[in-house]
Amino acid sequence: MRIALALCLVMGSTFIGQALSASSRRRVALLKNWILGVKMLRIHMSGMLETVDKALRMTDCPAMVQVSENMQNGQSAATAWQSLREKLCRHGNALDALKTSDREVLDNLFENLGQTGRSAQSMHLQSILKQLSDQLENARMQLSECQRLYVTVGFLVGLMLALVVI
Amino acid sequence: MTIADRLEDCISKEAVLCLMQNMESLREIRIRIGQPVQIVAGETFQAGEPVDLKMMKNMLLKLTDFSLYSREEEVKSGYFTLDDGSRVGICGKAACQDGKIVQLTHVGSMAIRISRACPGCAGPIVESMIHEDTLPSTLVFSSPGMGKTTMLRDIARQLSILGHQVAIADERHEIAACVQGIPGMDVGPCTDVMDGCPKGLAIGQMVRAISPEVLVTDEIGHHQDAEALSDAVRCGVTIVASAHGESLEALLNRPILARMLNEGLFKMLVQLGECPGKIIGQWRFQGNNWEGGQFQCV
Repeated sequence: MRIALALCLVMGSTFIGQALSASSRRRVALLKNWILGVKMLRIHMSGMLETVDKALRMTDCPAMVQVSENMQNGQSAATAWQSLREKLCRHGNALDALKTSDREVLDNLFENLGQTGRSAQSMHLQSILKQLSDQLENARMQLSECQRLYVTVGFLVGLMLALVVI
Repeated sequence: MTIADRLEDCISKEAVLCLMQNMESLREIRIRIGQPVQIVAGETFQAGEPVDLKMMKNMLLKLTDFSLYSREEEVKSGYFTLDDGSRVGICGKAACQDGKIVQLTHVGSMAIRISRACPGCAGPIVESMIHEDTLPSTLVFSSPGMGKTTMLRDIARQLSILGHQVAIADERHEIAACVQGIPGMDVGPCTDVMDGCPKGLAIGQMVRAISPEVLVTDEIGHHQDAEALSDAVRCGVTIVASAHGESLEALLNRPILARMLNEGLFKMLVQLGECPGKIIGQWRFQGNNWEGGQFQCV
């Protein structure tokens, strides 16, 4: 009985450790989604010459679609993003896992979106993709570190509790 | 969205109010840096504070749906067209290379010409056209701002309603005001539109691809237009076109138009003037095709 309880404690603590790194995992997923979104944006803006709001609507990124909806009221992409940013990044909302540096890249994305000629827009999106890829790389490294750390700590805590129980 | 809604946050409240009050008869909005907004609606009003650089930049962005890149080619040629068919002409500092404008950097002024449908305005012209055994090719001409495009749109609509297969080569999006290929203006049930394509190219392609009975196009006068229109007429298509010209003599002083007229490409000429949409002259071609002849006043 005690051995079974000890095993449960070890396993439970390990899972808790893994759950603690969920925020980092969500950050990675979000950044991947934004990278895909920006790639789609580039296709629709540079290739098909769609307007910004239509191009944003064509992406699979929910936040971009929301920005596009806000643009229907005659707002620029930057204004539409700024009015959504706080709400989306608040705890428990869609973009809460993003770090300040990630948000700065997104601010930069929307600040200049649609405001210049075709080649300048293409270069802008290319630069944003590079910045987002760097952030993703960084997020992946943090995730692997966090995962290893939290799982190890969880396992050790579980082991200690198991020893106490036994 | 009306033009007043579009410009609401970019110009002063007095100017917006003046726009809204004159919406019914609004013809033009002229915006120049350092000057109040000029609203042409029957009479000309000056409204609000002088426009500054920031206001002008905001206006340009808003009128291009915050997507300047998507209108870059049009901006380079000095104008772009809004979704409702209104045309925004732009002046400013141009950067040129090899004799061509590569970029319009600083916009100093804008002239927004309001497009409006006027169903039925082309009634007399259409009646003259259908009165004959075969529809005569027709050229509508006038000074700028006399309603040539509105007239062409209504001719297309009425001929289309009468069952003629109509094709519109709408290089500047002004006749049909297409959004994503779908006409925003009523151009009739039997009308096909080639939007945003150079006239010379569009005419040849439409004649080959969709066999129209009537081909409508705006503001002819280039060598390529003349070639394409001649080919279309040889294929048996009726042409309805417009051109700038304050008199028949002025038209005949333009070499390319003079050649088209003297060859008998157009069988009927209609002059608009005095006020928008008013027909002040009509001529018929007397002579043989391709051999020459004269226009006689009707």
